[in-house]
Amino acid sequence: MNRMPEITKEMFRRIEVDKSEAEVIARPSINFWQDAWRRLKMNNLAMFGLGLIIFLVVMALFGPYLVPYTYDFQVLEDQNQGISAAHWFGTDDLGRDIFVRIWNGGRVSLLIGLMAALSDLIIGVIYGGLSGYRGGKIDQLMMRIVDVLYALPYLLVVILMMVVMETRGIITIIMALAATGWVGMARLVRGQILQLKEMEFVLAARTLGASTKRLLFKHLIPNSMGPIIVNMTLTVPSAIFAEAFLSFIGLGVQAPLASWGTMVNEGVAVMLSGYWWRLFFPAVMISLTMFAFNVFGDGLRDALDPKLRK
Amino acid sequence: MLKFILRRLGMLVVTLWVIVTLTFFLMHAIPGDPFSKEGRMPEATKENLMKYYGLDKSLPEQYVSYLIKLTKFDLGPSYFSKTQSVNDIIANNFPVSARLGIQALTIAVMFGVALGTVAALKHNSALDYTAMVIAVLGVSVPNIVLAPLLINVFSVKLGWFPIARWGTFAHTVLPATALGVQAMAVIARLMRSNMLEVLGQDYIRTARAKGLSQFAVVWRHTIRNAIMPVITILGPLTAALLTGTFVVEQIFAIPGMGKYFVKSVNNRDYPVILGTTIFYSAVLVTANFLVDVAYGLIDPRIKVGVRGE
Amino acid sequence: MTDKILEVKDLEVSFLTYAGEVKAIRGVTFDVKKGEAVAIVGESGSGKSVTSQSIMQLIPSPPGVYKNGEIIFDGQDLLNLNNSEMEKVRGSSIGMIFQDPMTSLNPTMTVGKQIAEGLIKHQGLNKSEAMERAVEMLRLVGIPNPEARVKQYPHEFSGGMRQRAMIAIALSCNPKLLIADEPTTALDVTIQAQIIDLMKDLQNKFGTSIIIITHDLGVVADLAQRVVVMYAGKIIEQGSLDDIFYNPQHPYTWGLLRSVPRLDSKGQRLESIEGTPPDLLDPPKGCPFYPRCDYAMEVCVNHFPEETKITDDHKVHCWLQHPDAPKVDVPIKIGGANNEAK
Repeated sequence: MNRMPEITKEMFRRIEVDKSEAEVIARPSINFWQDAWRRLKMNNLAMFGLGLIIFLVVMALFGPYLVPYTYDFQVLEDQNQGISAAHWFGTDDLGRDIFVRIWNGGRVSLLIGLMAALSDLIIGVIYGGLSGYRGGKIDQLMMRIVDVLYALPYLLVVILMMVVMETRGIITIIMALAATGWVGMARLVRGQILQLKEMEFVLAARTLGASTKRLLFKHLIPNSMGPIIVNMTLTVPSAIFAEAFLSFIGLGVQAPLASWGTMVNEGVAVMLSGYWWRLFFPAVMISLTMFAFNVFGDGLRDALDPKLRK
Repeated sequence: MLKFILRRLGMLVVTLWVIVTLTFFLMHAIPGDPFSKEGRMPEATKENLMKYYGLDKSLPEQYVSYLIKLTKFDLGPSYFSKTQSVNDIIANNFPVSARLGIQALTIAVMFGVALGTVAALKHNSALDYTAMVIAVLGVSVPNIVLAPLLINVFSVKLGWFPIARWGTFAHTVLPATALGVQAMAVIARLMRSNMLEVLGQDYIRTARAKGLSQFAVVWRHTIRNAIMPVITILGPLTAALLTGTFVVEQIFAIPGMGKYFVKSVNNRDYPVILGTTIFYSAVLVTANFLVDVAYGLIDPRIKVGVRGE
Repeated sequence: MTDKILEVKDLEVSFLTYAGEVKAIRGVTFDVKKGEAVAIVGESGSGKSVTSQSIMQLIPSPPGVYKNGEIIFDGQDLLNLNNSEMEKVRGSSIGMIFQDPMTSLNPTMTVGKQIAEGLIKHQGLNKSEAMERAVEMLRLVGIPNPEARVKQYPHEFSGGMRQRAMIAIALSCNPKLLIADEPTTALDVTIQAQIIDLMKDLQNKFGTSIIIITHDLGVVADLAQRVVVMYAGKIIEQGSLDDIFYNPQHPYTWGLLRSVPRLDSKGQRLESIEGTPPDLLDPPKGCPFYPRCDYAMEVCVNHFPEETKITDDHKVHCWLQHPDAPKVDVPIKIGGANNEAK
């Protein structure tokens, strides 16, 4: 260290230090959601996923109006046309425009994904919340049921339900997915509630005389929101996959309605005939959508993890 | 440990019973009789058929007799195949699917564990990012997309593997890959996050403070602890592989159980659907049971008899 | 010179984080003599744990970086060693035990194997020889029925027993230096005393030098011959046990001593040092303690005080030592009792 020449006698005057200043926390306090959003924004891949999701939703909503066809409009002389100014993504074997069918299919896929996530949330939160909050015997019984359901191969059950239900369509698929999908969410919610019930701040709120309702809405639910949101985000791609899977094996939406799964199925059948666009576009769409939701969900999980909060 | 196994076995039986009951009543909740789709049929023939299949009895009677037959591992006759019972169909087709599934699972575990481990050890490096991009793509590209992609690239363009069908080992490479990649990606991601978590544990610092080499720390202390949660997801992954065979066998024209199952779904061959579902469930529930037991054997903390959860 | 087992000179360690460079250690110099027990005391975040882990080079890198300094152990600078050379030092010449015995042992490996590992690596024993030594080590650290215990897993041990097992691991290769990073903090009070007694016992038996990191001055008085006081990544005072307890010079040391509860000061409020330590992302230019110091002067704000030697062994960094500084009364009685005046 350098010799400091400028040490003078005057400098040895006592100063009063305001100690309260030393108590001030160095960084400004920001709330949990702001902090999560800040961290999410730093995650380029997750933001890319979010951008992609927004793009896909917008295109599913408005894409079909960009071209002068409808999803079931057939021009028989335009069968299996490649990419052209008239048909941006080509046409299928009935001369239907694939661009418009893609975005119509996108509506189906996104709707199913969204509804599956929502129904999981509703059933899962009610079931899991009740189980966790009540505890004791009721909890035991409810969780045994969940254990058994959890051991069922869910896609197999969905297939069975689709076989049994006579009418095929979006509603049926959503119902089948809802009937099987909530189990994971219920477990998650129950786990969160049990954990939070034991936490000291809930005890603190209790001793301060907070009512059950207030406890539930002000403390328990906001604090278990993080994992629930992440779970929902990741439900969307798996529901979209389930729909594509069902459509692929012939149990999904029925013609002339298009879904990405049915389009891939048709595309695979003509894959070796050179009509590559019929497989390419729906395949890319499914993958892009699942990719977008997966990376966004991962990013959300990292951003919402309170353990990672710095 | 014995108590643990017995308890799990009890769970297994109950789960199977629930599955059987559920699928049985689901199948019989379908309006109309199974032959209504076969077009016109003389009443007498139909009555004979109904009698032959035991469909003239009341539902509870049918249920009880089905359960009794099940205890003898008899899944009953098929409506469509007049020569094969459901047992025959499974015996003929399942080995192909099983081989496919085991190969896929091997690919998934080997590459998944390796990828996740390397990514974690080189955390935040280019290697890590590459491995994770591969893993995210693996999770995002569903098998119905991956299978045609593999065929186009490796069979049509490069000509390395046969396009479809079943026979030699070369026939198995692409379908097993198409089936296994998603599971591989799931394992890689899980393995990576477990590795990172374990690497941050105090006992890793202890191991390093002992002067162990990097290799010993990673091999003896890290991987061993990080791999355990991977074992627990093998159950659900097997379920995903199983449903994956429905698609992959379809696309590669492989004469396995998955392809047959899809066919019977489209044919509404209810006894086959019912029988296969029960068989598959039994396979999965058994797989879950084995995973639980294996976990109990590997993790010393469970041996004392208290359940993990 | 030869009587020193360890010399740390001008050590600077930083962590490069997203928020910036955290200067955890900012020029630390101290030494440990053969057979001596040195205590490093200070609040959490003062850099005492980082110092100890730096010696073993257990700082995760990235984000940790050694900016400057030397760590001379037994004649060689540890910072110049490569990985495999350092591996030969760790666990063999220097043993280390950690704060939390509940998490410091591998849950899926038997305790015996965890002791044996180091022996196999450093002393070339085969498995069965190493296991025999492991039994001996467990007996040495006072674990009853060691033959059965070696085959058990950590979860079958109580907290105190696990810390004993940790000590067995650290001492298995007969190290010249034992670094104990808050070895008693996570334990029950009664167990704490046992662990300290055990360490004292082993120090006497083997002549091992000890660095003990703690914020418990009771442990210091019990075990250490010399004390190093750290604050905000710097050593602000060091000296013999008597120097620090009976003739402390730094206001922070006074504060530390005053905050110890004493049986003979009934009815008085327990003293605490107001305020919190500075943010090491942006450490203050002058004395880091001045914002919390009752005797702060203008000079303290921008100038870090030079070392003043009270005796050869007792050194302090404080402007109060400057001839121009006003004289102050030490606000504690000899031995650390609270001053009536306060």
